Amino acid sequence: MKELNTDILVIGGGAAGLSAAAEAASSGAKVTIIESDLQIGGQLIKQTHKFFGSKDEYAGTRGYKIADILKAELDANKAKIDILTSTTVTGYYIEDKTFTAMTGEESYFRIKAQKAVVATGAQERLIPFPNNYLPGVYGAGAVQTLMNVYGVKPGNRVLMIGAGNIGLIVSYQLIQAGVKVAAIVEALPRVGGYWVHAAKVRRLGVPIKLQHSIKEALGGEFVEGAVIQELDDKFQPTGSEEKIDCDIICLAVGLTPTTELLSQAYCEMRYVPQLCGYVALRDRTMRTSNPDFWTAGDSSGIEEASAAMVEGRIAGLCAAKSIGLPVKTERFDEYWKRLDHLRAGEVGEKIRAGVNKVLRDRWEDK
Amino acid sequence: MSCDKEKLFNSGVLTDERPGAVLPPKDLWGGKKGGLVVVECPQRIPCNPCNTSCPTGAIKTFADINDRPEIDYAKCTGCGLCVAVCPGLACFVIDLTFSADKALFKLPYELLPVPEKGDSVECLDRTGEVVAKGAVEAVTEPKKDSTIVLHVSAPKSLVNDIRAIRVPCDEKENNVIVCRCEEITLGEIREWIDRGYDTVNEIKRALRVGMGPCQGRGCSDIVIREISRRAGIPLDEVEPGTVRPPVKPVKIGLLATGGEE
Repeated sequence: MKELNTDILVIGGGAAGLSAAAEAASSGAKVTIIESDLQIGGQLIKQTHKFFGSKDEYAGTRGYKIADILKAELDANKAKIDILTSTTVTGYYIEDKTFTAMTGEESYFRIKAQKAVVATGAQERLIPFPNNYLPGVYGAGAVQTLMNVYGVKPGNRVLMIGAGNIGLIVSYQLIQAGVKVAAIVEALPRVGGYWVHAAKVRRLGVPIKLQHSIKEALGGEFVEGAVIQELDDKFQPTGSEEKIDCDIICLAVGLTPTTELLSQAYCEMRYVPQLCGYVALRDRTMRTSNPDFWTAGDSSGIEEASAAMVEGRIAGLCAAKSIGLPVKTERFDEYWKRLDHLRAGEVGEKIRAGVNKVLRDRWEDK
Repeated sequence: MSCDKEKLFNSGVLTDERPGAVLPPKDLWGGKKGGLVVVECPQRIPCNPCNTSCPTGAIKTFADINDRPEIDYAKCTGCGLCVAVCPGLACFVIDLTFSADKALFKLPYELLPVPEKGDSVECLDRTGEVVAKGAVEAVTEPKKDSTIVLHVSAPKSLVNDIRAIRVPCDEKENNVIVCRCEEITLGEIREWIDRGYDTVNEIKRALRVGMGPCQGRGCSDIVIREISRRAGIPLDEVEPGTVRPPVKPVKIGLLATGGEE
């Protein structure tokens, strides 16, 4: 079997992975990026809205443009970076310290790396309801891929489930694509996403029904409507129901970290509700309990892309340092300052609480 | 009532002035040519492009990136850069000096179609209700990044209501079938023309207009006229579609057997 060797293996070519790769390569490491999709950029390439944050996280720039900026940064260090697209890391075998990977469905090979940064992102949560198998029930990520990557309108009238940032932003993007948003339902008594994102779709006439959830999808061969129901303060149906005319039901009910490889590397894991699932314990360098593994981005806890990029930088920098490369350590402090700023406000409270549960003292000194 | 108001606010509708969402002082605002910024950003979130893009320092520097914007109205020139930059589309500029009864609203706009100067548009309040008709006075794109800042004149009495616009669309007219063979509507054809497809061949490839049994005899003329009107191309300069044989569907079997069935 073919074997590939590299200094630092970056698994996942999204916001965190590309930032980690850029940082490690600029410190002199030989980096290999593995991306399961056809192109690198991760979720950034689907984001047509402008990002929040500060200039350091490209605030005010559309997500797909940020992907271009990161790609240009990688290009500047071309000689140090290999990028394998359409390739999935299928496993890690701790006894041999070996990864296996597959390109397409044809080529299967081994990878040996001194260190690995796991930046595998997240997967969408789904909720069960009657008739949820009907064509026309989508996750929000799929809707974004169809619209914003392939230019395909998913339908004509959508019911959005969830008023977190993803539900609100994808609703706005659907309107931009000429799709009517019949309603957004949210089980909580307030929108979970940024208030300004809600205001943006409200003033275009989209109703946001708080304390409501989907009861069932309607239709024979495909989605022809949905029934939504009102919930009380204990999330129990009040009995008040409404039929919604729609041909698409889009689920935006949250994400959960993708962490299989970290588990296979025996990194100590913990279920942290604030970070939306099982994540690896880590020190401030983003190193896990397995000294060969770093974690960054959504796979280390669900957060904004702006934070994922900073975490990626920290992981890439510290992974490079761990193999003896001279790195500018003042950058480490600068990146942490940025992370602390991003997490400082009320919306960062949940993240701070979650990170506190998994942050450990410096493992590398033990 | 206050409970309903709170629920409305929690769904993304500003109901009263709050920190981060206050109107400019009346005395200064009334006579300020160019207008003053109105920011509606009542939640503390980590974001500061309004401040970093403000050329005059009117949007004060944030001590903490999570701060809500605070404004030094004496410095605001109404330039509208923050309107174009704000990722939350939460900045607006309103100029009360436009005329006796009309104010000029500078609003962010990221939808299609983009209206033109002189067009009449529907003005929407914070829940998307049409509250007035407005006139487009200017169409600008300050950052050249697809966020349009529209200058729309509308009744001054609605200064605290109008926060978005919609280009009116006649549903009934848009549902009219143009290509009966392929069931393509006027609305679909208009949508693609607005995206920049302004020849018959492009519209045909995008929508299959004229590719049915009648081969465009019923619809090409309507498509050409619509392109001319909508894209502003003189009728005799609209590129007509390529006309290939057969002009009427011929059975494959007939062709395959050399013309005899």
